[in-house]
Amino acid sequence: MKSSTSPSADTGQRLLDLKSLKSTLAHVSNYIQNANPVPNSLLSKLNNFTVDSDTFLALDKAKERVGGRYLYLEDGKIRLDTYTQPPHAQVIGEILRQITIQDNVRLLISGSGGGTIIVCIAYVC
Amino acid sequence: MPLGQWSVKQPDAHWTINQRRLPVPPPLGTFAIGAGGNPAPQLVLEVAVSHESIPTLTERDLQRYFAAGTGTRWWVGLKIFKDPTGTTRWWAGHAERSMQNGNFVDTATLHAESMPIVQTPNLDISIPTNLVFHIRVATLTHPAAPPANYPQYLIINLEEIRQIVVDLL
Repeated sequence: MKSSTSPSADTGQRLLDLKSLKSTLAHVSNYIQNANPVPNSLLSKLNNFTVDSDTFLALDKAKERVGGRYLYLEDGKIRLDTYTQPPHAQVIGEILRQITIQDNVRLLISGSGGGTIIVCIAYVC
Repeated sequence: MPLGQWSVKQPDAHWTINQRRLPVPPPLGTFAIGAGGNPAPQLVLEVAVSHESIPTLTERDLQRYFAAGTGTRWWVGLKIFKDPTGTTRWWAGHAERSMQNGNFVDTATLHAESMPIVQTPNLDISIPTNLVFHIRVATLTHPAAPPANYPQYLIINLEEIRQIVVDLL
């Protein structure tokens, strides 16, 4: 996250920012979990935080509350990803299938960020 | 996976080399380490249906996946311009990390097998295609050799994908 000047002030500001960031994400998650649109004011507040990769990856608890696959970090800003539409998952499943049948010695360990793909992997295997 | 200091994104699917399956173990540090201390994937897939324009997919995302330290060696991207009331169109392409003097560098270019990037409408997905993508396995395992009798290329058959998409429209 963005830092200020002196080391002690920097540490204090970082903790404050982190607490504020987690609080903002918790508010965002409440709207999402209730299937309500997130107010622009809240999205603007979230957009005010500049977050580095390490901080974002350390936000496990907050991400889980929102549903990790719908949050990502882009250019230092936390973005809410859109829900995917068919045939998104089906295309991923088909490419997983094609590669799996060629992988005759299981050289490749496959994975996916989408929970629905776990079903496809199980089907192929 | 971290795509530089300021971006983290999960590819839609990814494949990581199982080093225990290689005939000769590669030197330590051959494969990049990703989030959580696990090996980063060498092959990644991005599929876009409801979001991401072609420039986003083929320029911004591509540059990020091949940024320093990501470990990505090959990228496959597919975009479907879904139009339930009109003509659904699509684009598919792939790219590999460039090499100079036997070492990977932080750039990539779209493979010639990719569909063309056009200003005019993209390909109508109702039209059959004979496009096939060839992913060179030796690039994924470099500098280690792939296992004996392993295919030289992983093949992605675009027509099989197209038929699935058409069935779902």
